[in-house]
Amino acid sequence: MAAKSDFRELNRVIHFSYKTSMVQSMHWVLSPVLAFAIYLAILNLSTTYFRLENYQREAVWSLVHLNTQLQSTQQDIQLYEMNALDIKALRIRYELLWSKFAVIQNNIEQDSMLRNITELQTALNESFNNFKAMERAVYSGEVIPPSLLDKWIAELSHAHEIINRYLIHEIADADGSYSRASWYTLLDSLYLVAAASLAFFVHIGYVLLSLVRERSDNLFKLNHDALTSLANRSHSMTILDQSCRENMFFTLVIIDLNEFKKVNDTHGHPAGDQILIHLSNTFRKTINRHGLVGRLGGDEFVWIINTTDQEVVKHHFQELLEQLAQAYIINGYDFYLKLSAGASICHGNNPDPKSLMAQADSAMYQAKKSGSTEIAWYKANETPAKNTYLNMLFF
Amino acid sequence: MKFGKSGVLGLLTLLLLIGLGIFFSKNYFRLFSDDPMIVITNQVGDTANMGRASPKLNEQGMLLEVLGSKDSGCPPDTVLNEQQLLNLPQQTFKTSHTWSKEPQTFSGPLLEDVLKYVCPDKKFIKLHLRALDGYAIDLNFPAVQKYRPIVALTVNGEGMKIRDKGHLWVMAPLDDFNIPERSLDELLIWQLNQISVNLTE
Repeated sequence: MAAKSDFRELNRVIHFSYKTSMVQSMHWVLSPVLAFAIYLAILNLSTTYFRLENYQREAVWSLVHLNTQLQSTQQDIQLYEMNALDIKALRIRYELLWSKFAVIQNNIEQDSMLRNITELQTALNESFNNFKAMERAVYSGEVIPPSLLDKWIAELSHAHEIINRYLIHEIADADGSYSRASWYTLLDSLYLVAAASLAFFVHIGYVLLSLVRERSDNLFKLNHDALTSLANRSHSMTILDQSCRENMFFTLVIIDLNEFKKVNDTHGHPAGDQILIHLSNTFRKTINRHGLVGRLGGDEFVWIINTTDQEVVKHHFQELLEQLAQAYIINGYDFYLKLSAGASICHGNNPDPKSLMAQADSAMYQAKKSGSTEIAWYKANETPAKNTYLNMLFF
Repeated sequence: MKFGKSGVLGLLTLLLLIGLGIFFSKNYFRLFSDDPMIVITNQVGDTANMGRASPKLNEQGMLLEVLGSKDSGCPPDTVLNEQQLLNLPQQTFKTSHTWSKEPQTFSGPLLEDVLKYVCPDKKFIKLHLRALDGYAIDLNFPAVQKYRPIVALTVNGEGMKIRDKGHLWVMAPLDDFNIPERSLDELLIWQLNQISVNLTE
């Protein structure tokens, strides 16, 4: 059961990391897309700005021209009244003013901000309707009575006044309703830029975060064994070197799994891997809590514990042996894991890590030879074995 | 950190997107489009005649007055009526413009043809165009010639009254050219009444 769940876990890890790398490759596309979105939003902002400027300029332009024509028309009506202008010239003036009314109507149709000033619109419509009502009299061919002419002058000057007022207070003024409406339109474009920038920076932040996570993940992988997640050989050796350099008091224990080769040969490598994983998990539950356990390679492990008290070491090792006393079941087979362990003690006298390793190694071979499950302690008068497997492998 | 294949791909995608962005938005930048800012509106100093129609407009059938300055070698004062303008080769096109929501169809002779009719064998350099209401522009004609401006007589097949910006309206097929919106508006003078030819070659 335990073995199956281990594999399921492994599968999940593999699947997950595959998915993660897919997401990360998408990031290369997402950043330029978001940068492009910012670019479009800024483009939209600037075109909106210039469009609004244009609209305001045109509204002012059309209203000023309408006003000019309103004034000229008043003058021409007065001239006509004094018989200084003939009806043909007055008709041309009438047509010109009509065209200016039509232009401002078109402005209102296209410019929503101008449309928002409803009072101006109403006033303009009223003036235009009054003005249209003059058409019959202007084109009738009869002499226009002075009372009607005076009424027209009054109407036109009223329209002129109203337009002037709106022009000054609502359109040209920075605090007028036209300027405010165009500012709100511009603000919408600004929100777009802000949203695009926010999305971009959130994404960059996410990418940085995942890079930081990946970095710590990689650092872990650098110092740990891929199969067992225990400290790997180079990390263990670094810790050993460091402990020696700093003249620390510690015990170095080398642990070897007995008859591991046989398991591999008879039950296959997957079974061997499962046994190593199980052993490492047991290490983690017991002796790894009182020091550092590293995998040197194959079925060789090292345990560095910051004490020189043999009893303490023995006590912790006993806990491990108790855990391993239960059978580990793979494919219906019971496995009883047996360990050989050899230790050498360092009393902080600036030792050589290589010789410490060799001492513990030779002690471990003594234990293996005798078939003892207890830790074999290196004694000073023993000569360390020169041709052990570990010595050949590492030194 | 290694730059890697994905980095190169990302950079290429970025360059491609920027290129596409410029391609699709070049209309908004004067840098990438034709700059027709050659029209100079000139109304200052013309206040005496502001809003006053040319006295000749009252004469029967008069539509357009073409004045030639002394140096230009053109006749000093030519008056054209509707029939004369209609006899010239007519251009017709549909275009959108500032003063209407919908595109409209304009037809009339090319401005160049009108000038050539009055003043043959000349190359026109400086013109002064005037509208009925006193609006006037100085025009560097060779700079706008490529936009093929016409003197439009009809809009959507109908003649224009003065109140509809007639009788004559200078218009160009704006939709055919890659120019910023509204940048030729000064040239598109409506209620055209008078052209002065100031300089020819």
